[in-house]
Amino acid sequence: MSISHRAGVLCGLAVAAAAVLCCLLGPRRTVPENYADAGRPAEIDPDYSNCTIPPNIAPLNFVVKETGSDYCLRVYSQRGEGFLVFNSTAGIVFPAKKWKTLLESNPGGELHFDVYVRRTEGRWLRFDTITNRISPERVDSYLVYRRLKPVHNVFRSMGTYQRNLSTYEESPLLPSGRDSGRCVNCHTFTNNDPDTMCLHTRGGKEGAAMLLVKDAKATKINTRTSFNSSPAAYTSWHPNGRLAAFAVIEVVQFHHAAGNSDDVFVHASDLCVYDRDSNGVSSVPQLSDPDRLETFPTWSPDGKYLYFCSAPRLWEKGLIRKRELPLNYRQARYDLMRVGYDDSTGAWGELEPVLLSQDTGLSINEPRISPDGRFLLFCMADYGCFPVFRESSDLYMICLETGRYWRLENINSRYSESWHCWSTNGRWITFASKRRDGLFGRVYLSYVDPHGDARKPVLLPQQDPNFYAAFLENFNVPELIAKPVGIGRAELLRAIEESEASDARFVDAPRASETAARETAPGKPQTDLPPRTSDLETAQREFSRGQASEKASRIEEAVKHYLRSVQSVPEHEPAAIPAAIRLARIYATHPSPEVRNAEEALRLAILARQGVALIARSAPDQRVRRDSQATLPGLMDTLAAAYAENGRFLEAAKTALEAETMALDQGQLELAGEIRDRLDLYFINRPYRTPSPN
Amino acid sequence: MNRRTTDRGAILSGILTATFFLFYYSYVRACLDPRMLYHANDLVLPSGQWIEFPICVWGTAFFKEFAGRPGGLIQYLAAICSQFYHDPCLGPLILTLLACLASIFTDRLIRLGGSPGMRWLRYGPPLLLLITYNRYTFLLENCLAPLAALMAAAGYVLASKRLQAAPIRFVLFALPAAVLYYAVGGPFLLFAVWCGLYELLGRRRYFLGGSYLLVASGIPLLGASLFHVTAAEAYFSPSGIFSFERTVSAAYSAERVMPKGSSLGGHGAGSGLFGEPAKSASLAAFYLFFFLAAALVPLAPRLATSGSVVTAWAKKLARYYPGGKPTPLQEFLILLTAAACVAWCTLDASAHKVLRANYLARVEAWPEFLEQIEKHPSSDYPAYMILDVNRALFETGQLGSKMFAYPQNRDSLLRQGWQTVLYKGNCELLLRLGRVNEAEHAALEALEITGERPETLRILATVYIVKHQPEAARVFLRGLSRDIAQAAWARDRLRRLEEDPLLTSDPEIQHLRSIMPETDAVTPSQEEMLLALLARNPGNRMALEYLMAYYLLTKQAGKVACNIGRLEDVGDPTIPEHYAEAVLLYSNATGRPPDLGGRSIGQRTVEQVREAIRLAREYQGDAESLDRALRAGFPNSYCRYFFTGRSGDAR
Repeated sequence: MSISHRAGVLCGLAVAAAAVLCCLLGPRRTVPENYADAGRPAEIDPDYSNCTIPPNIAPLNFVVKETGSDYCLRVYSQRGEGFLVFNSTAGIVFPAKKWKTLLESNPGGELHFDVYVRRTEGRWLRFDTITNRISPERVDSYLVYRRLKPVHNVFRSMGTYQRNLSTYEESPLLPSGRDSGRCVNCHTFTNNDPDTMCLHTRGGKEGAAMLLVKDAKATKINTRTSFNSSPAAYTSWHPNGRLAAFAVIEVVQFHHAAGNSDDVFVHASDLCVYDRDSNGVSSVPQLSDPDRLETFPTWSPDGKYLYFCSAPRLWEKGLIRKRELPLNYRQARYDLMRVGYDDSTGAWGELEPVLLSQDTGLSINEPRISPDGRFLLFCMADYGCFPVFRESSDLYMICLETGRYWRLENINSRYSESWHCWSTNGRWITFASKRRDGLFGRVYLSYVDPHGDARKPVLLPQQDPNFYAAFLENFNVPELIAKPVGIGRAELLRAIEESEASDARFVDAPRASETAARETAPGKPQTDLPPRTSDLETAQREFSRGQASEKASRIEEAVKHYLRSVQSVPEHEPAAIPAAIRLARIYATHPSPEVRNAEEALRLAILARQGVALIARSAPDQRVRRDSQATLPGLMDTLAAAYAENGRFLEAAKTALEAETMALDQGQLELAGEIRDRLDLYFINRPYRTPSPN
Repeated sequence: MNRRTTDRGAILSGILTATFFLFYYSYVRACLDPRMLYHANDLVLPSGQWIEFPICVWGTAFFKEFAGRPGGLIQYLAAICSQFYHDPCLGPLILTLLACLASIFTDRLIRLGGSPGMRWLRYGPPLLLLITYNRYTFLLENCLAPLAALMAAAGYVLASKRLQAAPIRFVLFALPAAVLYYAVGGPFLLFAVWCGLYELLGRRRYFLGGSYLLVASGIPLLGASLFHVTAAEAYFSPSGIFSFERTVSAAYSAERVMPKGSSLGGHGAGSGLFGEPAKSASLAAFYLFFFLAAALVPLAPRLATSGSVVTAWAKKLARYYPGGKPTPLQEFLILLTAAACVAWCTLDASAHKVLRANYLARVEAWPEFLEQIEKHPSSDYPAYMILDVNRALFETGQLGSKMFAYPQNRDSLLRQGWQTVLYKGNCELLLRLGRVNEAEHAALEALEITGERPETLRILATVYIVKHQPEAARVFLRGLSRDIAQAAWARDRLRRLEEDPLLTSDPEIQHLRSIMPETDAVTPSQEEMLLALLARNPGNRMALEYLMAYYLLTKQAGKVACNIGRLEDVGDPTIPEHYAEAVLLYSNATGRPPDLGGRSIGQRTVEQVREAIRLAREYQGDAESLDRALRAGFPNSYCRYFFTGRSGDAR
């Protein structure tokens, strides 16, 4: 080594030593003494102010959203030694040890943050003290959640993780693995105890399976049986740790053209119960009514009741096969029900309604009962059973003793709140909320007082104060557990990838016979109408008079004639059709609301379409068939107008498009042009109105 | 005098080497253009090779993803360097620098090995790298890793000349070997082999050299157990030679993205010939070169003096060379000729075509894109590129008059649903049309499938600004601000969002808001979707032209006729050629003249349609003859597509 090299090394060492000495022996930094009062609290992100925090939570690192060149934070409470945090950037990172000591010394006390910011001109500014309350009750030590991108259809890199709430340590429980195409979901524990747990996987080359974990040993179960073609989801463990209730659901994923994009529709769902000892699946009519959709089972802590959500099925069963979306999907609203269960005999009780959607006006989802059995936490959205995609989804509490329910004002936001869970001691709840940006779900913890009221929630803290600013994954299904999961990632992966699934078998249980599917098709010919005397002449005469009156713009008179024409013969008679069409048109499109009759317009238009279609298809005379076909475009146009008048714009647009195609096929270019103009109205949700003669 | 001559020779040699690399740089920049790779992620080349361009953002979280596996550091470095491909100067500079360094280290090793006569070998690595670059499927990590190994080997040889004690030399080898293995993964073997052979053959320290090779073969096994990777990965990753997993996923992706046998022209250009072996071959040659050099360099002095057959032949050959040893200028000319030959012969022209077209489409250089597409037969391009062709035709105002000059089918306008992700440019297309929610849906799926790519983050940020969700937009912009290439754009957007959270003064955002649907609909068909857009804003020219194109493609000539009046909404006083053909065809079928709103159809079009109808009648039932006749008379007409379902063979 040359002399110059040696000199360089010595110089470097000297500088490093000087720096260390300066740090050790330099003046101790204190709170700025000369400052100006800002007169308001500092803006911090995440908003950790006026919250109630668990005494065993990891430091709530945050970013001070005030411009400055230096930041000082004084942290103190009633007891114990406070501490200072200095930083030249706005990210405040608390020393973990001091934080822990301070919180543990002050259970039930207050935690204060004094924020000082040195402005660029060199002057310190002191902001008003930010205060949080330290709860005397601890939260469970661990949290298990899913992390995934805001995906809808495809999965490539998602996973289930467990997080130590006292530190920032996060470890993967079951990452799906890139390119595996596997969805991992619905991790569930028995009373917050991870010794008995299950989680589910779908997709990937292994297919759907339930992973049952008992005492750190995983078993793969195929929950599809002769009863249910879909695998298990939304599991809930009975307190005995032997039975697990689950839902079997058929879904269609779709997205909206305007507003919130992604959505999920559940075609059909039933509830089943899995018995771990016998590897059997069973169901009873109370849990699998063919005319209703049952989902989100949850056991009461004493195991005597199974609570769940249930909604009437408003569409044909065939849609499940076609995976189509019924147009009345927004009317699907779920009730909260329960059914008794006797663990000693295995007998099920009667179905009991707990809270009905007709009383709340909203769809009830995801019931979870507090460990003491007094309260039931649930969420409600405008429709359906996928609250994570509904902005309207908010959290509510119901007192199971009084039946009174209330919205948890302190914890709801304008965006979705869902996937909630109770702590072991019943003093904390955790849930996922999209409140920060409307897109990404984040985990919040909220203190619940003995009256069932929740306090302002705390965002799950992260080591990096800027963590949430650019983190492009959702957190969902946060589940609190008392200790870490005893099984490792490798064992779980091995159970999925290498072991053969054990096929659960359906254990026959008495089940109500399926009732015939409810006829919901609009406009089905009503065969129970009283028979009427056929009077063809009257029908034709009144129709002609009606036409004359209509031409002369005497609409009310025309309506009367058309009505007489329709009523003079049975409605399904061909003679009634021309008047029915005209009448439907007037009822659907007349500018005066006194004349319009939306429901009757639709009924008549559907009736006329069925009649004309029948004639066009099966009339013996070819000329009659051709004439009927020629009237179809106009009739479909009327039907579209009737749909639009009833607010069913999507059906209106589809029918009008059909009418336009028919008109063009028959060379009725002018009619096609008119229909096209009306189409534009239906696409912007506006009905068509006949121009007023005046 | 001698010294001066030597110096002058060295200077001249240096100048000529610099000139060579200047040419090298010019070639990489002008002909290869790494920008094409930057925009080519998930692109399947005609050979079936699949491009997976690395993602890289600043930050410790991203770095940690690499730090936990052998070879992760070099992959991280490669990912960083690859981001500079977006720059027209820096990308070529990096690739040239790589070639230059490979040459320098090889030269250094040869000289340290005591074989100055073999210095000509130093031009091997740049030429081999050129072959690799010419294949367009290289990953930078595969080139950087051997370079790092070479550098370490040069360091070892240099140090070992001063330190003679075997234990010290062993430590000097073993420690860097372990560190190098962690940094570059499998290619560290190159370092080990070079050092081992240097000791074995050059210094004749058989025990030491043998122990090097033994230790080197064991390190990956140790790595496999430490880092939980398979033995194959531990030895070969990320060499690019052993790429079983990549081949599988490439095949999987290619099948998804490009159906077998499909190309723009309907021929089998991309018929599942997954070209991983070809890709590996050039890399394998690159590695093999160094292994051979490692053996040859220590042997060369002995070969030269042993009078072996090789040297005898070399001497014989030298007799035919008039000047004895070639001058630097001659050397330079030979090298330049060799490089030109390599560049000319090994360039994957079909890949270049597709990459260039894709690049032009991604940067929305539409006229240049069409020019590129028209240079070569349509069958040279993959099927999904028809979406870009139609977009380019729209952007250049030719969709209604030239679309049937290209091979069209019912699916060539746009894609809906999650499949949107598989078609490059479809998210942008949906956004430009005004289908903001569909674009959002597709981009979110893309985020999952292709990762946090800057183009996806950019679209998502725009979508959420348009949808009045600035907080969500900020999350994506903050993510994007850590991207090397897009950081400036993202920071500018963030700043503007601070000033005006809804960006009310941004014309692009305002335009998108003015055309996005305000009323909800679920699972609409393409026709309903486009009609809804026109109902929202009749002046949405793109929606109108795509609607008309949809009607043309689905042979609904009547609907084209019915919607001619909409041209008024976009202020178009003329009737584009294909619309005119459709109107005349419909008019002929129904016998009723359409309402053209005062517009007129040219006599030539009228006659063309009349003739096409006559031909259709004449060849009724004989589709092939009809197509032949129509192709001969009106190859790019809508009539031909209408009657035969074919178009675009002329290209």
